[in-house]
Amino acid sequence: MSEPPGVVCRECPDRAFVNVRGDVGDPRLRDAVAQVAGVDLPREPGTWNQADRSRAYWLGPDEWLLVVEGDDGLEVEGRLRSALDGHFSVVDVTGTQVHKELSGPDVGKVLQKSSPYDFHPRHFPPGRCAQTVFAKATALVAAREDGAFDIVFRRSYADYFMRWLADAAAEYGYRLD
Amino acid sequence: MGAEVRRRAAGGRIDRDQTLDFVFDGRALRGFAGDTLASALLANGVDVVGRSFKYGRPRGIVGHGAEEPNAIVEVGAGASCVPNLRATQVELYNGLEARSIRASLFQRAAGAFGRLLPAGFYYKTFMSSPGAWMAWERVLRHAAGFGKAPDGADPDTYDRMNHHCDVLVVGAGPAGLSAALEAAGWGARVLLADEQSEFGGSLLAETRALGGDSAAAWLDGALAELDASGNVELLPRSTVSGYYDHNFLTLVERRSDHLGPVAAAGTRERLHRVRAEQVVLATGAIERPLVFANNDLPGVMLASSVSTYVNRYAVAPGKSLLLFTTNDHGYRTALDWHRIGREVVAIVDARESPAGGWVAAAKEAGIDVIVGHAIIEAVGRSRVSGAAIASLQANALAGTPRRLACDLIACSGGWNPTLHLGSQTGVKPRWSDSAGAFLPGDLGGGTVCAGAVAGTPTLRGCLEQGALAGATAASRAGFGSGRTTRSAPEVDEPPETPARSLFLVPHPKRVSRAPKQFVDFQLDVTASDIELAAREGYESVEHVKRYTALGFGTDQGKLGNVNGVAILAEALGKDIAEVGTTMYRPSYTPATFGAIAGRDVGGFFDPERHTPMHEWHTSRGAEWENVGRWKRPRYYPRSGETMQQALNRECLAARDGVAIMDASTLGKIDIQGADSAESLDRIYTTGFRKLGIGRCRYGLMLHEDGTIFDDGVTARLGEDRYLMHTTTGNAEVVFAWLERWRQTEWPELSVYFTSVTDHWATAALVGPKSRTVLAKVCTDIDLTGGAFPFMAVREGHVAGVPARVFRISFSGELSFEVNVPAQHGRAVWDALIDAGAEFDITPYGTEAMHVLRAEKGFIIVGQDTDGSMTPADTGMDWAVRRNKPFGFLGDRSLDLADHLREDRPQLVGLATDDARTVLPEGGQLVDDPECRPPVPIAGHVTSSYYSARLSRPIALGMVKGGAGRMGETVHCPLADGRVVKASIVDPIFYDPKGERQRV
Repeated sequence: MSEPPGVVCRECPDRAFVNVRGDVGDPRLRDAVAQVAGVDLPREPGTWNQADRSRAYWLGPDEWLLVVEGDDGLEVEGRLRSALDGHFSVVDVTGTQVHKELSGPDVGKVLQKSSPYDFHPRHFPPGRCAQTVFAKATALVAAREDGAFDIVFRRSYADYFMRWLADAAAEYGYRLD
Repeated sequence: MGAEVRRRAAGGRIDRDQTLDFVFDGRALRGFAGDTLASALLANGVDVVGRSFKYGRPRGIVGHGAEEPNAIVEVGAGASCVPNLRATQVELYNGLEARSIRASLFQRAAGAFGRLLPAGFYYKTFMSSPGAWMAWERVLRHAAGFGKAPDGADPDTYDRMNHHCDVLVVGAGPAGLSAALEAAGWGARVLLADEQSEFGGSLLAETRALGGDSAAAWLDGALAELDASGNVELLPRSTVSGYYDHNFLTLVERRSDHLGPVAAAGTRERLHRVRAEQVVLATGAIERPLVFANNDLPGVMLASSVSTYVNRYAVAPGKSLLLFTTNDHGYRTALDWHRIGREVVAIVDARESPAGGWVAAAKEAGIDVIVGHAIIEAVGRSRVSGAAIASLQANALAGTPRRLACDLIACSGGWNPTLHLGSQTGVKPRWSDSAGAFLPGDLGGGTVCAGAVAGTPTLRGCLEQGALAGATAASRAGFGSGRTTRSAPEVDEPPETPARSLFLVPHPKRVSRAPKQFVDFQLDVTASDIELAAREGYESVEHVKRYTALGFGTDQGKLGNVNGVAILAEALGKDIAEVGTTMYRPSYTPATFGAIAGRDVGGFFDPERHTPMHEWHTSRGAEWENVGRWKRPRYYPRSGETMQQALNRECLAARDGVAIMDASTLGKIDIQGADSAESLDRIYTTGFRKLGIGRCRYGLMLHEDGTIFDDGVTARLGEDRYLMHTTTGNAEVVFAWLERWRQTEWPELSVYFTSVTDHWATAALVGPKSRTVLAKVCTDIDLTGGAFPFMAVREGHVAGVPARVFRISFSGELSFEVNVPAQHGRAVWDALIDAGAEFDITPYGTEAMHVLRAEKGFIIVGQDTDGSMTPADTGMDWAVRRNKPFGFLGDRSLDLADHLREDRPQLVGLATDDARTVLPEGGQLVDDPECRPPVPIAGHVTSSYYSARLSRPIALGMVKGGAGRMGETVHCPLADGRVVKASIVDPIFYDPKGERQRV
């Protein structure tokens, strides 16, 4: 049997992605998201929350990415729109996003080769997320409890991104699931 | 002298079971694993490793590390060969091929020639007749004898890795190791880098015991402890090459060079980019050579290098040693030489009455110690055969020189701390009288210097200071109290007599007449060159460097600079502190371009962005156009078709039948909030407040100065929701522009912007038959002109997928732009192609798009505009509303006197009179083709194509006062001498009333 790969990349299909912008101090925004997606919008910069099938990533002081497994982006957008009031923005961005999960003992090395950001567990423990430079593209990287990372990037960069990953991970043994 | 004589039978850190064959300058030689190329050459009795830069003098190995000025070699062959390596830093491997970069006949002949090159030769010669440099450059560059860059593509792989650490320790000698152990003990994330293959630095050649055990045993223990620590990363073979602002440092790790050419497997070099909270510089010191006549003869070496070759590599580079020292430390080399049973001719000590422990040990060993003397001249032809020594009192010679026979001269002129990295940060080194050396300047709170680099002379002191530095750095990074937790191992440190400073040994003849006293070996700079520079009026050390080339070589004067500075100070009658040193710059030792480029080469050089339909275009043999990072089909040639034929076919299909284009790359920004319309009104020249829901409007975006920087169509999707289209290349710029104004100037507006460029896949269905085709796959939108007019948007389903369909047109034809979420883009595209098959639906690319829009006189921002044009210049006053309550960006600037000039360049159509010639884009337009230069320019061509629909060339251009010159003639001189006549016409060539797009 061959060595287990140092890095495994897994596709995370069938997810709805909705970009949410609004005032985090407005309880109507937080309540609507909690009601529709069942997840609290993180208020702490650079963090993300997970509940059941939903994840909410902090992107900026007034911006989040909501990811709901097994749902449709346009429908989530519609439900949020009905539940919301006041000044907000919700946009289905499912077409924009490609979501991969990176795991394996050498995943940290591949991140080091790809980004100047510090993904060491001391600096980037589970629950943290960051939008950062990734090779010559950008990505949202999130640390998970199981030591794996969620990587979300733009669809138009997918070809470059996946070639880069395979190349950077090759020396550690790479498997694409 | 044969190899068997020079290699000791036992000892050293070489592996005698692993013999390695290598070739140097065509000679087959043999060494052992653990050797450097330099130690193997010495073991093989190779005395001369090259010729000198200017004088062609034979040169031998002087040092044992980064400081080596003479043994500069080219290693490897073909495209993966590396020029300009120091043989002292090249690890030997089986099959290594190396050549001296300065062994050519040219160099051998240079001896006579070089005498004609005084200091400042280049300056004096080429400043007076600058043209001469162009003629002589090739010859002189060749003569300079630097390595030759390989001309094939580099077959090796290089990459980069980023690091963040609490403490970066530079140098794994006694101080660095102690620092790393201490910092790691406190729990800090530690990175320990060393340029050598083995960690240990000076400990690798240390003969004393540490804490009662051998130095090697202590080293093994320390490394095992660091290795076992979970928070230390060890980087051997890694040169810290650059120290930049904010504790950002670059390290070049040589990962496979020691294995030989292994092109296909793995990374040859890795550039580590380190962001460190704290940096411990434990870079050690380089021994200072002594400057005396003919001190460049092979066989004159640094004392510490002789000891290193003896102790670490088990090589004795000679038979009879004469040691010349100004300090106690140098005595250790004579003791090492004596210990291996070789003859020590004498120790020549420049001091009157040395009395330290090492001195006593030498005397005890029966070594002849000649005090108060100096070697004034080395004797020999291609190798030292003796030396002239003389009594040295104060700074003058006394008595008659006498001659001693020897074949090796070891020199110890004290130590120069390796302070290059600190200097790279812009902090000037400072002279210390007590240390007799330059020390790093005040590097601030992010850096700690420890060990010899800080002027610490003893091993025990380095161990202690290293530990303290490690604790200090860890504490500053938030780990521990700053106190050391471990005691340094005991080391026997005999008392030492103070050293004597001796930067230039006097000679019975004056400096300008004496045999050459070399200061900088690599570039052949002598003491007399420096004195000449001073006499000619140079005072700044930076000017003297450039005038004499002192420290200009690839070694950046690691050996010679301090002596050179001191000689200059003496000549100027100044203190060394006053003269100062030159600035050291990255890289510490030369770095390869490969390491700097990393993986950003070939297909990784710049990312390509692909639309969801990319593979379809590929399968149809599309030729590509790069638009920003996007790959867009330019045209789709059928077999045997020329580009023009393909364009004609694509254009006619759009005009007469149905054609389809992938427009996914257009920038798209979703705008929401009660003040969306107000924001758009402020950003665009056009008004959006009264735009009906479901309707679209064209807008021009201006900079504050009133010039056009983007355009596009914006649709109103709901009461408080809009969708903006930007040009492909400007999507990010426009988004940043919107956010900038929202966040910094108009925070009172309730509006949010979200980029949805990647979310939507867009297929532009164009042509008279587009409605029929779309109707086949879209049943829930009434596509009739009455229900779905031009410049409207409707939501529904296309091929079963939720879609937004825009009736907007960049071709002037009936057109439906079908937008679906990108994950469905390919499926919907395929469905449209299928639906259009019966009408011979034709895919078209950006080139046909350009022709179609030019026929309609539609501008492309950035092609027909150049950042200086106002709406009026492009004839688009109709898109500007000047009566908005708030105004818009650039509004007031439109009234600038210069913007109102009537002779500004204005957009016009150009029709060549011969109706055949396609004007070149960028072609200059003149009114008088016979005019002699300087010719007044009337304007230039911005867009130019052959129009298949009109069966003639068409062009757009900017002509001064063009709007008022309709019907007049301009001339376009071509590069081949022809002049093409063209008439100024209306820029709308086709369907001027716009009826076709409204059907």
